[in-house]
Amino acid sequence: MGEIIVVTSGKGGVGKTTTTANIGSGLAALGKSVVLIDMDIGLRNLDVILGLEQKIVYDLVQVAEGRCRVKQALVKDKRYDNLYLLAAPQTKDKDAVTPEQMVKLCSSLVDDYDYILIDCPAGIEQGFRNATAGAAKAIVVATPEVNSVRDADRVVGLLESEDFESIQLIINRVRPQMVRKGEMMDMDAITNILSINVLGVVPDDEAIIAAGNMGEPAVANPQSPAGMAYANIARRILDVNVPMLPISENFSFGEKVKNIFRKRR
Amino acid sequence: MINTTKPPPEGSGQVAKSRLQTIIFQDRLERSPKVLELLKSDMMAVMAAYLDFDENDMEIDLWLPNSKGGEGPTLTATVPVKGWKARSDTT
Repeated sequence: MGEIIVVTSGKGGVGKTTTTANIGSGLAALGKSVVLIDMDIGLRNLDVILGLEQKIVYDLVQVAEGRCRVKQALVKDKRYDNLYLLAAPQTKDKDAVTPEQMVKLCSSLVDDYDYILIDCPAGIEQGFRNATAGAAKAIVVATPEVNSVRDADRVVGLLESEDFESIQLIINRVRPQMVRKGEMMDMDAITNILSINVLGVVPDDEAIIAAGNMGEPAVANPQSPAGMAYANIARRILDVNVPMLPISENFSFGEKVKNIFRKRR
Repeated sequence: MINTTKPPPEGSGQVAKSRLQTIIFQDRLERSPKVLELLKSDMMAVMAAYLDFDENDMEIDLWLPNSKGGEGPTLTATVPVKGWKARSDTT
């Protein structure tokens, strides 16, 4: 029986899709079978981040409407045999699926795969309700900015009222130098305010943009500090005890050393 | 003369944190205004065990920093007390 996790944020542009692609790839690299569902109907992006945009035949609305079988619509990833994408249609509206259809879709996958990750659209309207309907766990992505943390608090409030099994936070695009100078909120400041458990802290990293350009998630790139942070997040999801570094430390160095250490042990 | 070499008293990160605390405090209050009513009635119940007062005279308010000048949101309660409910000098 797999786990169904929705990746959400409230605010747009904080890195939900990148996070979904990287955690999914990270879990697949650890040998888990993973399905990524793009719920950003009308504005799909997950296929592009993964470099699978040319391979999509069916989308999740066609599955929900029973016009194809779910396995027909799953697109196998380029790098990992055990990673699949269920794409969003590019031409429909956010309400093209119902929460009931999402629950049904998720439960049809949960017995056959270890992790179902749902990439939620921005906002807290119908698209949010559809994306969260089938999930038991949630990952909230926020950047260390006032507006993003505020929206994250709103989303956490909504998720709490829906009785989620767990709600965890990823703080994305942290700039360690700015934190050191006191020009950016650190992890403690943000968790203090949101009072939820932190799953990981991801540094701002140019390699994420290059990875997006190439359609290859940064988690596979040991030179990328953000990629290594996502690899550690994937391990934490499997309950492997990977310690969290304070944001103000030299992030990239710390995360790299830990990875090398793990491989050689 | 203004000393320009002196660093600012706090970085913008600290400003962000205190602004957020206020914003989120306000957001949560707006989302669940009943909380303030529940707080008031719980406070009254606790005070009523010790003090004799008229609950119509009681004023409880939550102040956001801008309106009261304080650091963060502030709870003020004004309760004109008539006396103790009972002698409380047991040892």
